[in-house]
Amino acid sequence: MALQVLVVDDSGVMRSMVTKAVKMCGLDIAEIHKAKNGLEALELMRHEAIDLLLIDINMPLMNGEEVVTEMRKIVELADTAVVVISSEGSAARVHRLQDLDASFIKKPFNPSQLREILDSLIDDRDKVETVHDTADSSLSF
Amino acid sequence: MTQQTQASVSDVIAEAVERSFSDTAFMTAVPGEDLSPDEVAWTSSCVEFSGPLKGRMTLRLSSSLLPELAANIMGEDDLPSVEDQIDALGEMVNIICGVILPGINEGDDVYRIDSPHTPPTASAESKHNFEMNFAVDEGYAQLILAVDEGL
Repeated sequence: MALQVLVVDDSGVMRSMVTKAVKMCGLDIAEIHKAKNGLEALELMRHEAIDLLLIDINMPLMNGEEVVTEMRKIVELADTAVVVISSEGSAARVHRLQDLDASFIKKPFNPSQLREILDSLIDDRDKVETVHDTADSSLSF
Repeated sequence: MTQQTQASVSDVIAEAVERSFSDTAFMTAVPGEDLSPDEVAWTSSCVEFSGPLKGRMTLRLSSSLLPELAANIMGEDDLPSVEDQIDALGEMVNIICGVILPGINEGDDVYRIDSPHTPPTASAESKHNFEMNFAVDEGYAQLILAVDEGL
């Protein structure tokens, strides 16, 4: 299934850089949406079914961690795959993001490093979906 | 500051600049002590940082390389705007700074790195200064790390 991707960063240069890296990963991408802050991202995700969110930490209005925390409270967004991108990668921050079921990648990164993270993230989601599908089909019998 | 500290900080700077240019802009940055890019027209971007180390980091790049740097970072075939070119240099110094600071202290410390800006022409004196030149494609880069506190 082709992925709907959302890239969130207050820097236009970084939005383009992450978009370029995602395109170079070789994943099956349907569309790459962009937002320049957390509020805009949440608003967009209310109308578009996003499979994968790539989000910066340090942004005005609402930072990346706050966006993910908010998403996890919304049923429709609770299972969305998230990769947080930052140039600051302290263990405390990474642990907090893991608690939010989000992956983390530290800048600088190249497309193959991003692909590795996306593969494991998407594999995990597929496994969860398979379990849900099996449960659904057993219910339908 | 001991010679060993000086050498290890230089190693951290070299590795951070090489990797950041390669991964982010697909450009090769090679450190060289014998480089003397005195006649180069530079474009500069600077970030202030605080935490266990406090100071500022400036990245200077041959102005002729700026369009290529921005286009490579952004993945665009067309020439990025001048504003995007300056922003791209700012993002680069931000990324490099995020690698160098934890590399120097090797702890799990948290640093605050402020938004990149164009540095004033006359830079303030600092307690410790590191300067390293790099050959980048057909031009040069220069990384200047000024540490006021923490070393």
